[in-house]
Amino acid sequence: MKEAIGPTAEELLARVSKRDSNALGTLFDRFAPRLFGVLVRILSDRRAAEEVLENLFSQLWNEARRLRQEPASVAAWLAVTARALAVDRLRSERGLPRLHRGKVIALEKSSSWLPSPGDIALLEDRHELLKKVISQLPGPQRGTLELLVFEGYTESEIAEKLGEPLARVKTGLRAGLGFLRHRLHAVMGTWAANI
Amino acid sequence: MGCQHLDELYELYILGALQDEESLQIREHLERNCPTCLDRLREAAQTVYFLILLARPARFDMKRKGRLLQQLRGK
Repeated sequence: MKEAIGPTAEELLARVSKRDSNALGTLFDRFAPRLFGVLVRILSDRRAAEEVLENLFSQLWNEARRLRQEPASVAAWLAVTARALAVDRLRSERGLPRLHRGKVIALEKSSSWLPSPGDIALLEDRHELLKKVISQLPGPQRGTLELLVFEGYTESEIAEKLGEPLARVKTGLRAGLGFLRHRLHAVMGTWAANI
Repeated sequence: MGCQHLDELYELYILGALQDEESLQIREHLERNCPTCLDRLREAAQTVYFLILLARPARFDMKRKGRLLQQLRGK
């Protein structure tokens, strides 16, 4: 999510941590359209997506003091947390266990594992180039990534849903993510990357 | 044991998609503040961020923003 002209998201977060609701409003204006798109894509229900968006910004308000102590990008925290909240809601509606309590608990204690604002700015600058990388993946691999990211299924649930052996699904998903990881490194590292 | 065997798991860990035993391996490294795992997780989070934001932006009801800010100011 590209930064607008004006204070950075991290400067706004510092103000939010001091209970400046106008700063939260500015963050909302800047990031809500992209995040709302993510939430609608996951939940396929605008009202549910609006509720999750509100919860997300309430959570940012409540956790601002802790988050500003860490070098993580606010945009990255918002995107990853939005997806986690929406997926947990979707899974609960489907009668599936929540993913983001327990399984990835080590991630919830701190945000130091999130990319820095500089890394995210670089990634945003090259977003259009990176989108081409996705189109280089075979259709079925893109389909399983969709199930993973936007449907919130685990590897074993994807195997069950597709009626395929778990080992094959794991191999395909991990190869797809490995391909993306390496292309992302190339694109972030040099413009000369041959994609 | 080093961390190389975990190399292809970090994105899946962030997305909560691993089976318990693989998830536990990463969690144990993170709880020991393993610097390699933390670095790899930071790289993986970039891939995850990129994937999440492939969704198209959508318009929403701005009244929601006003209501939210009003609620938070009241707290």
